[in-house]
Amino acid sequence: MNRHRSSSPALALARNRLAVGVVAFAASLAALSVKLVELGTLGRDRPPAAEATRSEHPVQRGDIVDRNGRLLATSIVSRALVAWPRQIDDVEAVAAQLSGALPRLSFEEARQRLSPNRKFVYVARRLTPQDQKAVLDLGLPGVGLKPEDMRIYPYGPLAAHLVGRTEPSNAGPVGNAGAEQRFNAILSDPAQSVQLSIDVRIQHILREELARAVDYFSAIGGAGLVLDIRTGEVLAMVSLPDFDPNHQAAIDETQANRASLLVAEMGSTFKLLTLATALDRGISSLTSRFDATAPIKAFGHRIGDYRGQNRVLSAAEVIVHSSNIGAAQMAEKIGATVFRDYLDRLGLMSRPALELPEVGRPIVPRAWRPLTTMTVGFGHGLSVSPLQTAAAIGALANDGVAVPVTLLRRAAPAQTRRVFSSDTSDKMRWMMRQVVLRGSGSRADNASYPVGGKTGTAQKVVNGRYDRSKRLSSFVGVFPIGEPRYSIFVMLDEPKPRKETYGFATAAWNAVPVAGTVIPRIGPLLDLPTAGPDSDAWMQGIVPDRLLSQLFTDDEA
Amino acid sequence: MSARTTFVWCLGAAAMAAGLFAVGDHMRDRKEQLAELNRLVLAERERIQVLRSELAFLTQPQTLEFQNARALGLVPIEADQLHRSSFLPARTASAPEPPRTRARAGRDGDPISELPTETPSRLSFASREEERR
Repeated sequence: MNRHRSSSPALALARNRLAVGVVAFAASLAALSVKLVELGTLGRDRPPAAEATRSEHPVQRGDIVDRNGRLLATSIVSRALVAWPRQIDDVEAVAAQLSGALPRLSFEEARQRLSPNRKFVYVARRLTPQDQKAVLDLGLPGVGLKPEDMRIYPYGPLAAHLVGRTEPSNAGPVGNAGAEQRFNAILSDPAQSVQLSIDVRIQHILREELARAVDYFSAIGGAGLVLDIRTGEVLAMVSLPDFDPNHQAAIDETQANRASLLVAEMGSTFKLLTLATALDRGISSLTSRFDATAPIKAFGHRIGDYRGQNRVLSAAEVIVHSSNIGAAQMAEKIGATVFRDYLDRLGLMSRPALELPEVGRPIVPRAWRPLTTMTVGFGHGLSVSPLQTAAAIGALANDGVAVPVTLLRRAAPAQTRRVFSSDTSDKMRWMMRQVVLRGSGSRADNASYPVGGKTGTAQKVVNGRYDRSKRLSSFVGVFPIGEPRYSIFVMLDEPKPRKETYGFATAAWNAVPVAGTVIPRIGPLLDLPTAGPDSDAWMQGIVPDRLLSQLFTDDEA
Repeated sequence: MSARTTFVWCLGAAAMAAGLFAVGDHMRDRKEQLAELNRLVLAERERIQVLRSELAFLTQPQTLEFQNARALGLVPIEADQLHRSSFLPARTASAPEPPRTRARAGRDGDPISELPTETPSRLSFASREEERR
């Protein structure tokens, strides 16, 4: 009895332990069974292998868009063909199969890249979906696909100089030109994007018309700009020849941005600034007389006119007939200090703060002699970019207020600087209109959007001397000149004379007609109201018609 | 501790283990679902990005111009086609009165039977072309 009692707790304990063990075992078995049933019968919806790899490489770079949100640059995920050559037994056979599957990969290229000395190599980049399938179908060991960022420029060369391009690096694509380079830090965050001020529609029209002129006049290049003179925004900037950033071919010097990087003597377009300075300082009026009966000798140099009138000219006639002699005398009267001060305030003496790496610094003479003042008066002796010229003339028409130019869409008004008085600005708008109505800018005019402007044909400097056969012909205009809103600049680099232009290759024959075709095309896109029958009535308030005979001797006849 | 108590404890432990297993499994399941959804979102974004690029490529101005001209016969608007209503000349006192319609006086009661027909239609592109010539 005692023995039974003493053994009974031990037995009970053993039973308990056994029960615990059985329960634990049963629970484990049950858990395994559940899992087995789950895996074996219920299964899971696993994603296909392609989907799994596709998402593991999100794009690493933000977009660049135009002012209306049109996509100028974006990134998509592409696949590169990669290989681990040490895992490949027969390089020749693999190279042959790869070159057979990828038409753009030659056998020799594939064989060289699969050199067994290397651990890992890129064999081909930017594979199309068809290429990827062809490679995967081969099922080659030691060969695979690697996702990578691919930068796309849907508009190709349209805004190539502005958007720029990228080059591949271990950290992803890195901008090496244009906005891609300037805003590389922002674009490196894929959540960020950069909105430029340009409008692809206006960019397209300007590029199309400029390209036509470059081709027609066998020029070596050209540049064009459209600026909003009230906001300082660049609406279009074209430089020809351009390039397609989708193809990473090396860019040579001839493809550099002529609109912002090129600095050159702009020629007669500068005469507007000379007259404006003289008017603003009260040194001259529109009726002031300048003796242009014969070329003048200044400090041992001869200054003559291209098509001399050989008579005394009014200040207004100096501009309309583009007299170098008159402009030089006007600049001499202004004086170096004042003239330089105005040019500086117009931003012509320093590098403009445009958001591009490719912006030229003006070439200012080290020693500003009295002769320099006279030559700058008619656009020689100071080299500036087309961008600076368009902005300066824009300021002249914009009530005399200079607005800093920008390549970004401007949300808030910029800090502006008054350079000329409103009165001077009004007179200069009248003057620019006269150049179009009775001078060399007539081919820029149209009935819907009246234009004012000035032509300039400058000889290029070759080996330190002016070359008469190599010209930069340009036109800078403002429209609608009655209520100025936009400035346009067109330049052709070394245009050739044609039979149809009677052997002339000056701006009036080649650059001006480009502006004349561009403005009526872009006016509706800019939502500009068309001019009425009395579109030039505003001029009466500035210079009444009865005074015209005092300003223009031709009118007396 | 009695056998029954032990059994209850074991049963409780087993139930808790089973419960934890179920919760853990559910969590794994949800994590996989989440990862899958993330993958799909990224894949969709990638597809959208490709589509946006294609759209931008297909809507290049020169492409639109060409397709509009080819398929629809449309050409870009010209500046001289745009006018402001304020430019229209005001009607002068000597301008002839437009003929009045007397629809109700029509013989057959047709309300348009006596409308003037000599005025060319202003909505016709053909007549507009003729006017221009």
